[in-house]
Formats: sequence, C-alpha cells, structure tokens
Amino acid sequence: MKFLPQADDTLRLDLNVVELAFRFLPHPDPRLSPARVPHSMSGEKSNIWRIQENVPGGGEYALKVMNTKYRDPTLPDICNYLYTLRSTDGLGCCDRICLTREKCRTVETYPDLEFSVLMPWVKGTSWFDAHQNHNSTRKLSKWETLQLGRRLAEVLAGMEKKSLAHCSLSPENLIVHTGTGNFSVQLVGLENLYSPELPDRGEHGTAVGGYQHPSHLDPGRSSAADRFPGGLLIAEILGWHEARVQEGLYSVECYFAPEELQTPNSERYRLLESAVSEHHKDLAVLLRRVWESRTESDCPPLSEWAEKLQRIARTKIAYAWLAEREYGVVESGKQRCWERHNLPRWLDLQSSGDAPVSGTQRSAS
Amino acid sequence: MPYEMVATTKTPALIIYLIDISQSMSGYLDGATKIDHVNQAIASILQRMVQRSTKGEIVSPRYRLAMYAYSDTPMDMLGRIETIAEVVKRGQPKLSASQNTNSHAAFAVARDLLRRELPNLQGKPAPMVCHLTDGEFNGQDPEPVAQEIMQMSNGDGNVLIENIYVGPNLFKHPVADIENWVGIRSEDELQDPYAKKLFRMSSLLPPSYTDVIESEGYSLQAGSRMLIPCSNKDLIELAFTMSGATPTH
Repeated sequence: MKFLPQADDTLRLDLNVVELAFRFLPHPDPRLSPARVPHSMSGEKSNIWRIQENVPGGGEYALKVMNTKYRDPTLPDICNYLYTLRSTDGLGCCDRICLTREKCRTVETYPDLEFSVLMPWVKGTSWFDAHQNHNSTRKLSKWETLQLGRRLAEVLAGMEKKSLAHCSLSPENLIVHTGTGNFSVQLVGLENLYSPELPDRGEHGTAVGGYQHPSHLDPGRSSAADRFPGGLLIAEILGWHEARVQEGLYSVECYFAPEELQTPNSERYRLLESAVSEHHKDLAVLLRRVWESRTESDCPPLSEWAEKLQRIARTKIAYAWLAEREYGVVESGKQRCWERHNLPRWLDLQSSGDAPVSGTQRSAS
Repeated sequence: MPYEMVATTKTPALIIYLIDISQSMSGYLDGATKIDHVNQAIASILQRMVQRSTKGEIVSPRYRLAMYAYSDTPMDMLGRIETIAEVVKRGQPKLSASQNTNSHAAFAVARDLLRRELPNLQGKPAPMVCHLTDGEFNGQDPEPVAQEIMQMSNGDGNVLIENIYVGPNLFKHPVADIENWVGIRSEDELQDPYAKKLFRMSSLLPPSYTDVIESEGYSLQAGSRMLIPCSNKDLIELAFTMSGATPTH
C-alpha cells in the first residue's frame, strides 16, 4: 500500500511494546487549508511528515520516510549512533528510532515505512523560511542576530570539538528559535553526518550550491567539512539585521549565487562583510578568511567564531560599550548608541560623559 | 548537459497540463470513472509539488502551472499561470466530462502560451506540456502542433511533451509490475494506433528526470518515451509523477 497520507489522517504505529496513534498535521501555510494538504517536506532522499500523538496535548514528531533508493539496511545502525548524540547541543533530533520490521509491525502494512525514522519535531523557523521573509525572522535586531549567530557558532564548534560535521549544512537544515529572549539553534537532516565512529559511507557533503566550497581539494569528509558553509551561515545570520542583506539574497535557496562564491568583486559579499563588521571588525576578518580559503580545512575553525562571538555577545551592556571602545563611537550623549544597538529604553543611561558605566553601577544608582 | 536546470524559486519549472474532458472520460476504468482517477492523480501530484517546495512552513514558488481542460475548445482552468501554492489554495480540482476531443486546439493554446513565455524562461528548466487523453481526437490532427512545440527550446533544452493515454488494452504486453517497468522504447510495444501516434508526439525522458521518478519508487529509464498508456489507476499515478519530475534540490 502506497504511503500517501492526507492532513488529519491517522497512523497507528505498532511498536511491539506499545501501539501509538498519530495524526498527520495540516500544512501551516494558511493558503492551503482548503486542500487538506499535510505538513510535509520532500528532499532528494526522503519525505518528512509532521505528526502529533493522538492524545490531548500529544507531542509532535517528524516521521522521515526514506525514498526507495535510500532505504539502506545500515540506517538502523546510523540511527543508533545518532541516538548517542541526542544530548549534544543543537542535535536534539538525534533522539530517534528507526522503524524496522522487527521493531514496528506497521511496516508490514506499509512497506514504504521500512527504515523510516521517528524523531521529535524541532520547533522554530527554518533559515530557508527566513529567506522567504518569515514573520519571526524578518525584523531581527542586531542584538538578536548576534545571539543567534553565537548559538550557531557554539553548536558547530561543539560538534567540531567532538570531531563531528553535519556535511549538509544549508538554510533548510538550520532551525532557529527566538522566543522571549531565548535563542536556540537546532540542526536537522543529520543522516549525512561525519563522525570517525561511523563507517565511511563514501559520500561527500551534499551542501546546496551556494554553500559548497568551490575548490575540490579536500581529500574527503572530515570534521572540517562545516567550516565553509558554517562560516557563511553564521555571517549571514549576523548580517540579517541589515535590510539590504535580506533584500540582496540571490535566491530563497542561498544568499550567494554558486558561481559568485569567493569571487573578489561580489557585491553580496561586500554587503555582508559590512553588516557583520557592525558587530565587530574581528568577525569581518573571520568572514574574509572563509571567503579567501583555499579549502574547507583552510577556513577558520568554528571554535574561533564561537570564542569571538561569546566575547562580544556576553551582555547587552558589554556589547554596547565594546562597540564604543573599539570603534571610538562616542556620540553626543549615549542615546544614539542605545538606539543603534536596539537596547531597551530602561538602559538609556543619563550619563553624558565618555566614561563607560557598567550595569552594576546603574543598578546601584 | 540539457535538462540539468533545477526548479528553484529563482528558476521555477513551467508545466502546462492539457486534460481531455470529453464524454468518454466518464467511462469506467479500474473501478472508477477515468475522470475520477485523473482528479485524484492531479491532487496527488499537486501535493508532491507542495512537498518539494516546502522547507519549513512557507511554500516557495518552485513550480508555475497552467491547466487547460478541453473538449470542443480548451478552457483555461486557472485563468493565468499560477504558482503551486496559488493552485492548491483553490482546493482539489474537480473535472467533469463534456463533449468532443479537440486535441489540436489544446496543443495550439499550449504552443501560443509557450511562445509568450519562452523569452522569460532563459536560465530556467525546460518547460513541459503534459497532455492527458482517452481517445482519438476530433477535427484537426494535433501531431504537427505537438512537433512544433517539441522544436521550441530554451537554454536548458527543447520543450518536453508527455502524453498520458487512458484506456484498456493499449500494450501488446500489459505492464505487470509498475514499480519495475522501464518505460516504452518502441512503437512496436503498442497495439493501439492512436497510442502509436502519441508515441511520436512524446519526448524522450531526460536522465535528470529519472532520479526524481526513482525517488518516487519507479524505474522508468532515460531515453524511454514520455508516453504512459494507462490501463489502471496506478499507471495514471505514475504518469502524473512524471509530469512533476523536473529536478529540484
């Protein structure tokens, strides 16, 4: 039986120890509500369906159904390995099970479900949707872009430290969340992950053209595979406060045109470098090193991005003063500085002198 | 290499559907009317296109569609070329059978639309015309217009024509295993004279399209004709899968 569910259809997964019922959730695009289209996404290797356990307040899950060609008997082992990474920062969707005939009797009814993967649905906005003017990311302040950029850098640096690399980094595999001052970044699409603990599957990264290093000098997959696309994505997020960066996208799929990467006269690069340097000039230097790198491994290690961003993004107050100290931005009174950095009005210090005033001093006054 | 352009928001694929709604489409095939099977298959392929255009919550405009239902004269179902989200928001299409089968007029509107659109399609995937019918045409022979369309091109390749022929007993040897069927390579595989004509009006399947078709669980091979004689609903499903097989990321 072909697996082609409609919105609100029910799927019963008989997992031997327990039978769970799930509902296929409708597509969130309100334009599609008359058509009962389920919320699902297709890639080269799989279709992902958003489902919810059919109980009050039931959790939401992603059911990743592999296309015929990619129903690989090694998937359960890869899944088991990914499960061990479930507590790693940014890899929450590693908390997964692979549905096999032994584990799930439903596979007998729907053979298409063999080797499919059940994992938590990652809430947030895909960076692909940010490229499409999504409400949640359209008006990010400088501070918010700094925090999101820092979080992505921390996630990628944490992976590199463990000798892991995503290997398919792209806007569609990056989910950001910016609710009520909490900034989080999660990575999805992890089946192509590089780890020295996984057997070499002979695959190269499948990064989207606009994020793939133009040189093919790297000998194979390694933990440095994310440095080029990761550096570009961190820079892109950091520059997102700048309307001209958003408007200057090459396409919804990528900020840079594939043939434009590493060219010396790229106007998009110039725009992005300028927007990134508004946070700190050292970040623009990192971006330049990525842009001019000969290979992926020649790019700055992701820990350099993380360390630099952690230093800059420590607190809003420190961020504001850092800008003043390092750029010599001393305007008539502090007010313009606060506005430039999107700081809340309660931080609008009365001091008009040039001497830094710490947050502690403000609280005490 | 021709037909390598992928459907993206910057380079959307243009697909023109020409659907025969002549009276004979109300006839039964494989447990339901032919037109019901077609309605169902269109709904499925639209859903697939939405899936391929969603990478989060927003449906990106990777596909642009024109749809004509024809009997005596072609009827523009959408009134213009629409993006996939605009088409789907109209709800499931419900075609109903009508009078004659003027296939020539249907191909002629597709040709005229392509003449207008082709100057804007440089750097984009070659457009496709997907024609569905269940029998002989009335009036003028559509083959010369179809040949004219197949000579039109943009940088990616010549315009592709797929023909879906709905009816029983079209093959000399019926397709037993759809998922492993490699497609039609020779007129000799067909026994229906009109199916043979449609063979000549159909393009060769480009290699890049087979990857997408394979991902849907089928085995059609590059170089087979983009002609699917449909004697049951599963073949109709396969035929519409082919119509949405422009490569995507």
